Amino acid sequence: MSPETSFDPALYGRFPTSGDRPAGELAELERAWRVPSGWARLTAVNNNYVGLWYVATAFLFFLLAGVLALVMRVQLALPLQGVLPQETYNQFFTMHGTLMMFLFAVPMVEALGVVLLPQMLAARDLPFPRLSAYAFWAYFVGGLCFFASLFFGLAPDGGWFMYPPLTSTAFSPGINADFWLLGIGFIEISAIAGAIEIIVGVLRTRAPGMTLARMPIFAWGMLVFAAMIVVAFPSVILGTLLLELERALNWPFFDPTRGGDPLLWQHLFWFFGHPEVYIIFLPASALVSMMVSTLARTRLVGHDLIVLAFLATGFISFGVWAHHMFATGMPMLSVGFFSAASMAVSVPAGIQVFAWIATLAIGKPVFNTPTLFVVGGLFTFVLGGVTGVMVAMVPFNWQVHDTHFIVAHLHYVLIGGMVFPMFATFYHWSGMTSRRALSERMGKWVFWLMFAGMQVIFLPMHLTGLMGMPRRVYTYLPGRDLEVTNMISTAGAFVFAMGVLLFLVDLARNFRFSIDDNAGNVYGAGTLEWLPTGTYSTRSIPIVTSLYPLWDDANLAEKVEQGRYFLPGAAHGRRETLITSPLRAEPEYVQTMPGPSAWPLLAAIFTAGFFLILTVQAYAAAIASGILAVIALLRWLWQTDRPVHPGHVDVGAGIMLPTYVTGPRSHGWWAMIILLIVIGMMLLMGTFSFLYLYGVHPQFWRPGPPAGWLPPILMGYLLAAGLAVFGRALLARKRSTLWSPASAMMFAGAILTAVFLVDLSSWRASGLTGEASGQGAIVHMFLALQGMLVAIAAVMIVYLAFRNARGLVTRPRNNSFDLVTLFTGYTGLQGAAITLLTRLVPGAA
Amino acid sequence: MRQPISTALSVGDALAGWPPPVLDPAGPYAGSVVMLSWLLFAMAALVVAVVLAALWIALFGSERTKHKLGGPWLVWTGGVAFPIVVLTGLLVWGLALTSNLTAPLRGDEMRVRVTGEMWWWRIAYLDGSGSPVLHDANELHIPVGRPIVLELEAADVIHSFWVPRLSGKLDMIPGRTTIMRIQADEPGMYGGQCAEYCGGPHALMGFVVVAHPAERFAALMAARRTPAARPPANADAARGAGLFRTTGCAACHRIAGTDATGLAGPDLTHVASRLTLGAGILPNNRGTLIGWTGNSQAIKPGNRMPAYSTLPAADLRAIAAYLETLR
Amino acid sequence: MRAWLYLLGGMLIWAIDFFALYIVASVFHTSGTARLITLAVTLLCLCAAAWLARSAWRRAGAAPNPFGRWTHKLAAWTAAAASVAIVWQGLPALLI
Repeated sequence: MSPETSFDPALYGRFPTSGDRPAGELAELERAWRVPSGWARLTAVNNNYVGLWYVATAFLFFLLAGVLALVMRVQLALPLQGVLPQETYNQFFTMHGTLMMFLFAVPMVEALGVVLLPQMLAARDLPFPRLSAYAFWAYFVGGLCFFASLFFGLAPDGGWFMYPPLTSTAFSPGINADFWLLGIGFIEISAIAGAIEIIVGVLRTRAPGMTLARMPIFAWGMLVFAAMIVVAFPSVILGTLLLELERALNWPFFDPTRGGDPLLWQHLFWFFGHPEVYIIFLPASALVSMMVSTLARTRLVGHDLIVLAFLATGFISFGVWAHHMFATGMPMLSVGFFSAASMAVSVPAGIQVFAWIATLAIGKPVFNTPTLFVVGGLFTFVLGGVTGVMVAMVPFNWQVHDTHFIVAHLHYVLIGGMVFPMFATFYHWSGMTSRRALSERMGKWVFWLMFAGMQVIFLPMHLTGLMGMPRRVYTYLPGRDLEVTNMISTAGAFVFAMGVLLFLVDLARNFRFSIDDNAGNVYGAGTLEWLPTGTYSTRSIPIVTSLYPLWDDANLAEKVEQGRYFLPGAAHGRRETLITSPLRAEPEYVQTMPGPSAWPLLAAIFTAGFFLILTVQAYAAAIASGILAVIALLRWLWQTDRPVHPGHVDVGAGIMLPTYVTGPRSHGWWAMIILLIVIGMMLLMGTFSFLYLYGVHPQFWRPGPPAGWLPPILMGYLLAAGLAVFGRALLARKRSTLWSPASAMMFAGAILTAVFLVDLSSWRASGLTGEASGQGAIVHMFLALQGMLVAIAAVMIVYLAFRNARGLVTRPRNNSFDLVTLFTGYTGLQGAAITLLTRLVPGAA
Repeated sequence: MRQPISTALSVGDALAGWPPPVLDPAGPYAGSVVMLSWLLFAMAALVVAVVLAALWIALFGSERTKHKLGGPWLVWTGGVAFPIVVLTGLLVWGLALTSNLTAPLRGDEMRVRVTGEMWWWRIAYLDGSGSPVLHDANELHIPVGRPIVLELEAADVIHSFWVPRLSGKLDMIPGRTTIMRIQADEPGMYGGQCAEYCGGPHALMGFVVVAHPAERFAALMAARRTPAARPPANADAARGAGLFRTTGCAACHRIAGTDATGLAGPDLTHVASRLTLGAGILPNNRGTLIGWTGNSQAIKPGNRMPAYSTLPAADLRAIAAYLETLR
Repeated sequence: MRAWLYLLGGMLIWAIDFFALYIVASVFHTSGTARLITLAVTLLCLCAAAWLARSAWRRAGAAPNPFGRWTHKLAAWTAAAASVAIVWQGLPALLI
């Protein structure tokens, strides 16, 4: 095996070690990983705790959104009912969709990843535990406040995809739409933070020997999920930014009378929105794949084909977005491309379905609750999948688009593809986090009620759509024969609700959170999350030689528990996990992980506060909250990136690994690169928006500032980027003084700021305002984005200067310095790109 | 003059959900899709049946059958080969049909501009050069057996024009004109509804398309093009005509041949001959005219017409009597 | 990095194909020019993906270790899947 790193695979032969472990080693491990008690428990960052809270919160939103749907179904049971006044109903359906898609579905699969993934990879925790905590608390506070808008009649009412011009100020004058736009903002932050965790976690914290070929299928699902978030979410982040700018500052991105276009929103939204549903589906289907093999007590058939399916879906789902726009009058050739891609994206789903059936056939499936939910989910998802193929056919789409047929389709795929697998997951993995497993007897009732209820709600709904009932209608007229199918659907809703209620009863009676004393491997699964665990995850990190380690090595659990593998204790008294290489999982270094802290919690509260207070237009208070968030963030970061002693530690059997690594192999570097990809995607979507608006309404565009401005601005940005790189090089040079590298960075920051202000004033001088036209809006949007990056870079550089003054900037290389270099360098390059783009079109003056 | 309209169907039938309008076409633009629809349903049923059969065997079959079924071959056949074959066929059919439905027309078809408003439909029949020659609202009249080109626009937010028995839908987007065709091969009434959420009472934004035999259509259009200035039939209606001006109706509603030229609301020149009121939601009679004028907010909350509930009942009756003369 | 580019090579080719076609259709609408360029791009990308699939498959057969075999096999499969998608992607140029 050609090695990826300098690690010698022959060293694996030293494990399992023999002889007893030293006294006190286990106690030391427990001490390092101890979770605070009392109120301080809220500052915990262990993935078991954060993950559990995350799952619980997401489930709470599922219940809340479900109640909204129940009331909606009561309203629609009969024509012209007044259960809800029109405006309230419009808020209800908007909130139902928004809560389900943004506050339940994505966070839930993310949360299940947080709970299951580290244990499945035999890592001690996710690579950035405080980041997870921050992401969770921001989501928790922000999500609940967002939901509360319903009680004030301030909930958004433009539908979950909020099309302008309906959601522009002219037609949505209240702050309802702003709640959605700013409320979704922190969800986006949570999702991006989670994605960074998952990518670095899956690629760098796997147990040694767990090559990509031996990685559990759930890890693949989460990896593709996270990569898709990184590419898709920036589109909706940009879109929400544009709509909020239009509402607040009257910049006409979507106003055709001034050179904007309503369809721009649809493109930006659906470029995110379609991958979003696969973001939701892939992890859930990955969980099904894991459960199917356990429940059939055999290896998953077609494991590698499923990996292919994930990779293919991850890519092709980005090529189908305009199938939500077939009825908008796009050029037919374009429409054809999207139809073709929509057919292609359904093949990977079929691969998974048949892989599951083949596995069930070869194995000896046990008929328990998880099996029921898995099989029920499979059937339901297939029904949804075939209606999906139907609506990918353009002429058929033109009839059923925006009708209840689509409502039926989307619930079939989402409930079959995510909700049922989620319940299967709850029953299957409850033993890992609870003292008692959930009840099999009750579970079967829960399943049949939910399954039957679901079919009764949504099967007739296909007919309702074919009978002419559009979506998002608060009522319908009598005499249109719509009463029968609507009444049936409503009856089904109550059956489904009873199933959910029974589940809550089961939960209340049986779920008792415990990590050490859990119910154990009740289904006899073969993957690593079933090893005996404590708050430190596993006692030692095993070497993996197969896809099903517990099946292939019956004594593995015992040997791991006895500490016979990597890191049987706290090698230098702190929380640690192994960082391994991405392809072959060869050990590279030991990561020191942070423990509990109040700063992520505070930063999250103030971040959520910033967005929410901004929505109610109390600007001073919002700015204050924002400043407090930044302060909390910086206090949190101040504690990170400290020198670790000793520089190398024994990770087991005498193998020494470094404790502090910098440069492209460091996990922090990877996190920053991923963040820069997110920002780069926003730039890309901004460029698309720019070219799109120019293409649609070129008559509103005029030449920019005189061309003479371009070279100095360009050079200034490139110089700043160069200085950032130079600063890093200076740090490594033995002869540079304490302040040379930091000074180089400060110069870089100053130049960035100066050049940005010059660029801004050149546009001001040209007379183009943000409100003037689509061009003005887009140019100023670019300037706003660049301004934000410049400001963040400036804060980072000042922070770095303080660290330098305290002697925290190690030589020759330092992680904090590297990250600031990366960010500053990128900011310079982005500035150069933006200044070029905005001046080259329609033509340099 | 009463407009002779086919009485074989009533407005209720136009809005009926059974048989499902999507599967009950009345013209070629909907008809060709129906065959595709049935093919798609058949495909769906086949796939579900295959999956169910395989699942059944996998769960309950005998050991031997299960073992024959289980294995990578099933994933390659069922998950790769079978979908590729079926989907290729469907894609080819679907793309060909899409091309067919949007093939260029001769260029001399009748054109109508329909503008989506919150929450009604502004209609303008166009002449050969694209200028409006006749204005109307909420009810579209077309001749049987010919393709009609609709130029769809939107005055405020995005709406969608959908009359399922005649065609698939097309969105009306501010700042653009989208073009669709409809054709009715049988005389009759065809119900439609806005299919893109446009806020407020989007649920109550309907319309009717009425298809006439060619000569009747020509006669109807000719009659409507003559100015509708007729003396009111009785004193009540005359009083109503006066009230129409003094209470402000003329500020929003246009009646051709009078000095009522408001454009904010539907054109009322031929309101009495319309089959429905309020954009497809009420039958058109004296009672509903009074009810709508007096308090449209109670019927269609949030619509742009203020409630005239302070008007005495006698005034409302007079206005209704006047409107009834506008055929 | 190179390993990932190789593993995902087929899909990257599909992505280039798709977005090239999307840009062409957005700029040239449903015209003869658009159809011609579409067919050319489709053919080019199809050849690239098919070539990648074939060469990866060959390398999978000759690979010295299981992980290498796995990598080449998966690269071949993604390229093959991409080829099917690319063919479908080109059909509108012939049919619309």
